[in-house]
Amino acid sequence: MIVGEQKPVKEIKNYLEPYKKVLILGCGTCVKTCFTGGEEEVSELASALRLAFKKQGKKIEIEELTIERQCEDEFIMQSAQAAKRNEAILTLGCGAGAQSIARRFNAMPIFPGVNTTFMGTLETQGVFTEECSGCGNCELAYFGGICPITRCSKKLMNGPCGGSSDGKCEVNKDIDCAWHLIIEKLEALGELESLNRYVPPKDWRSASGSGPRKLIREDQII
Amino acid sequence: MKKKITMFICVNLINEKRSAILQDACQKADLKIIKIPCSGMIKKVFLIRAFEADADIVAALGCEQDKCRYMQGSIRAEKRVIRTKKILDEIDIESNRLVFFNISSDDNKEFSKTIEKILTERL
Repeated sequence: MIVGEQKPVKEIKNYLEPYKKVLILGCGTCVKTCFTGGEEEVSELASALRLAFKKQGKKIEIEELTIERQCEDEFIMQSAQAAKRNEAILTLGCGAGAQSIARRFNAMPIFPGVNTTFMGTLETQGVFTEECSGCGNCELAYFGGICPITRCSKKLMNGPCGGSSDGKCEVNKDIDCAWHLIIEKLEALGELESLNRYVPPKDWRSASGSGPRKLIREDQII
Repeated sequence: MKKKITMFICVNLINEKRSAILQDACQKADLKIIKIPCSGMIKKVFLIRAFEADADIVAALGCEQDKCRYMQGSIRAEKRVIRTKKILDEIDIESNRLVFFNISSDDNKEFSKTIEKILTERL
């Protein structure tokens, strides 16, 4: 999932100062799962903002709505009527969702309420960990299902480096050394020998080095 | 003017004696009591909305952590209160106006003292 963190309420409040009617738009997919932008977070933020403006003696009307996904036009259209009723939209979707909303409602000011942080997994309740960098050329098959690009602080393809100690990374002792994990995993699988296989240097053209990426599925285009 | 208090309380903390204590408390303050099946059902938005509705004090009362009928209800409630306090701090609302208490289900004296504290002390 895409993991994000809500921006500080003060920063959000500053965005909304000039407006009297605002729509807070949540997203019911990734950011809901990471407790950042689903129905509950929309209602909490709306209430906190109303309270903050009230303290300041300013009245603001805040409409709350959460759609299934902000990154798909089909769902975005469900917010069209609510958008019309308001002067600005504060989106609690990820950066992709926020831009989709900005594109669809291009005559309206759109503000982000979330800092999109990474693509990750739910490690345990309330703990989210970055596990994929979206490099466009997955090489997990060579590394026991552990991504050295994302999980090694130095993005080494031939680790571990000298900074690995007791299975932890020198960058931060809370970070597992990805290469320690890779070797442990391959050893357990009896496939440690596979690390002797020549893996060509990574082709980074599939990563973001060539500008914004696009995936075109001709079979889906009508 | 009477202090306006919104109190969320786990039903497992209420017995006959305590109902009487709460009834008595309603005479001393503008007290709104919201009984819930478990304090773990308290959502952050409930707490913030209570302030939106002009509460001076918002109190959440849960069972002792290891006595919760639903295992982690009062732990969850306390964590949500802590998180809500952070939100209140961010918007310059005094977070000490939001309080959480773990209360024993059989010590009526302690219950009475806690209610008195909520009613009278400047929290």
